[in-house]
This record gives sequence, C-alpha cells and structure tokens, in this order.
Amino acid sequence: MSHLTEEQQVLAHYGEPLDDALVAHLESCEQCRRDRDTLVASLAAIEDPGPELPHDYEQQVWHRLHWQLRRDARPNRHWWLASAAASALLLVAVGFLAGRGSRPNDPVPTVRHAQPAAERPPDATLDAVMTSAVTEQVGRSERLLTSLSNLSPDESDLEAERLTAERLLVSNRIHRAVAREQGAPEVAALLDEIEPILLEIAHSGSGLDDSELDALQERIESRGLIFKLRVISSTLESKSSKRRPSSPPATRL
Amino acid sequence: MDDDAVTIDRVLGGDSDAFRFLVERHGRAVFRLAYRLTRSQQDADDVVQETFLRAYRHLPSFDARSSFSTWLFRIATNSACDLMRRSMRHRTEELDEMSEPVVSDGDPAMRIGFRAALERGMERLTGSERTAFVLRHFEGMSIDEISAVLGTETSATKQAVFRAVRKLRQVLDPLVRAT
Ligand SMILES: [Zn+2]
Repeated sequence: MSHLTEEQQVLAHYGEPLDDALVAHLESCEQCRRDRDTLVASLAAIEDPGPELPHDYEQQVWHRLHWQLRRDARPNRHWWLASAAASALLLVAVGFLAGRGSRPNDPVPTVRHAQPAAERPPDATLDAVMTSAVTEQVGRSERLLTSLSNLSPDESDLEAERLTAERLLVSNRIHRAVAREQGAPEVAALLDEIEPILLEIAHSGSGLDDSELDALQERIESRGLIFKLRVISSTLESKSSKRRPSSPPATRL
Repeated sequence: MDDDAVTIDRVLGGDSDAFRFLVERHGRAVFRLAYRLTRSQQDADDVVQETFLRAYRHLPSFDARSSFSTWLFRIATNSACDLMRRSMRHRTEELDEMSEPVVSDGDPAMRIGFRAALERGMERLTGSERTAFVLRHFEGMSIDEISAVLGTETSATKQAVFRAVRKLRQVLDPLVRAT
C-alpha cells in the first residue's frame, strides 16, 4: 500500500485516530517511520514561551479593567451601545445641572454646577468616566484609520472595517457632544473631523474602488488624522492614569 | 459547582468586584494565548483587556454547564482575530523587510535564527491557520474543541492545522536539520 500522506502524519501526531491499515503500515514501513520522526523533531522544536510577565500581572489587568467596568451598571450585550448610552445619560445630566444652575431661583449655588467650561481648570474638563469612554473611542478610531491607510488597492474586502466604522459612528456623535459640553474643544474638534470618514467607510457597502480608497487615504494622510488621534489618545490616557490613585477605597484592591 | 461557577453567580448577583477572581485565575493563560495569536505584547495586552471586558458584558449569556475557560478562550480568539484582521496587512509589509534567518553552528545564534524563523513562519499563516495551530499545538485542545471555538467543521479545522504545520516546516525544517 502507499505511504502515509503528510496530512495523515500530522493529524496522527496531534492525536487523531488512524485506520488500522495505516497503523499496520506505519509499523512496517521504514520510510514512513523516518518521516514521522522528522515531523516529531520539527514540531518539538516549536516552543514559544512568550514574554516574561510581571508577578502582579493579573492585578494590573484588573486595575485597568475595573475602571471600564464601573461604566457598566451590569453586564450587557453590546459594549458600544452601552458606552453610547452611558455618555448620553451623562450628557443629559450635565445639561440638567447647567440648566438648573442658570435658573435665578435655584437654591443650589450656581458656582458648583454651572461654571463656564472655559474657566474650569484643564484637569477638571472631562470627567473620569467620560475620559475612559472617549479614550476608547479615540483609540478605536486610531486603529481603524491606521488599518485603512495601510490597505493596498488590491484589497477590496472592507467588511471588518465597515462594521467597526458603523459602531464608532453611533458613539462618535455622543462623545463629541459630551466633549464639547465638558470643555474639551480639541477632542470635540477631532471627533468632528473624523466623522465624515467614519460615515464614508460605514456606507462603503461592497467596498471601495481604487480611486475611492486612494482619495480616502489621501484625506487621512493630508490632515495628519492618525497623528492627531495618537496625541489626543496619549493625553487622555495620562489624564486617566493621574486620576487612578484617587479612586475611592471601596473600588481599590 | 467549581470556583468559576461560584464566582460567576456572585458577579451576576450584583457583586461586580468578584469578577476580579476570574481575571486572577485566567489572566495569564489568556495573555499567553493572545500573544501567540497576535505575536505582539501590546496587541496581546489589548486582547486580554477586551476579552475580559466582553466576558463581563456577555456573562448573562454564558451557559453555566460549559467550561468558563473554554468560553473565555473563544472570546479571546475572536478578539485576537478581529485585531489581526485590522493589522495583518500592516504586518506583512514589515515582514518583507526582515532579514532571512541565519543558520549557524553557534548555539546562541542558532536560537536567534530559529526564533526569527518561527516568527516568519507564524506570520505566513492565515488567521484561521494560526489560530487552529496555536490552539492545537500550544494549548493542547482537541480538533473538536477547536472546531467549537472557531465555529468551523472538523474537516476545515484539520485542514487548517495541517496547512499551518506545512508552512511552518518549510521555514523551520532547514534549521532543524542543521542542528
Ligand atoms: Zn510507508
């Protein structure tokens, strides 16, 4: 009978059962046994321990994570809708407080709620919760635009990018409004600038042709959008990491 | 009930901080898987974060009769695949600039050559080939378990594992023979 194929050898090595006839052949055929030994040696050489992790790695993961979890009242099926909904609620709350503060007969002192955005110290601009939601939005947008600007003309399948753009579009408008409301005009302006691009990708349907893709990449490039997103992203991240030590004891570990 | 099931009950009962125990129990394993799939520490960190976030948000849909770690690995694999799809094109360009692995008699140089070759080999795999191979070779999952994670037919999973091995051997065998 004929020798084992490479596929049969590989699958047998990984524990898939062989027919009795093949097992018998393997026992009696020197060439197949030699092939098997070479295969075993090759696969045994494939080790990949990966990078060393710090001893408190799990705590670090949890530390970053529980900030994000605090945004969610309870586990939810759609992160982007949850994030957008949280932002919308905050927007309503901010608008409500500002409105109350401006009413002449309001018993709450105006200064506590309705200080004009421009007069607030920069660190008080974006609330911690919003900072993390906006940081996520900016980070995801940056990745999407990077991925798009690396596309070559022969790659027409934009389905993954289209879905991402669709989700980002839902939350982009809300995050932009909140950023403006809370006195972070540079963040609002950038989210404003990327919105037409998100819209174009989200509506790209069956993909973009060469010239459309070219034009899109040119727009991303000429306005330095990826660079701007990275700058804003690192600014937001440093803001939220400054806040971390002051988190309430109940949520610390 | 095992520890995971007890913890999940607590989280779903409103004690969201109990989720921390799931992170402590599975964080390292998820990182290792994510790293092997993405080949980048930063990407793997992102995948770990996203995996636990998605797991938390989807926890009500987790079927308590199944294994939490398998479910978590499925989420991690999906997150890593999403990320790879977004960055694969970029990586391929970087790869072309990498030098050929150098075969040498010296042991340290040999190891470096082998690591670089493995890196090149892994980068040559498609997303599904890499995922199937990593889950089989490194994580020791059966073909059936991998098919469940990837949502593929058994025959497709076998094909993916086999194609991955063949591509890796094209790069690695010359080095193995040289030792
Ligand atoms: Zn034979």
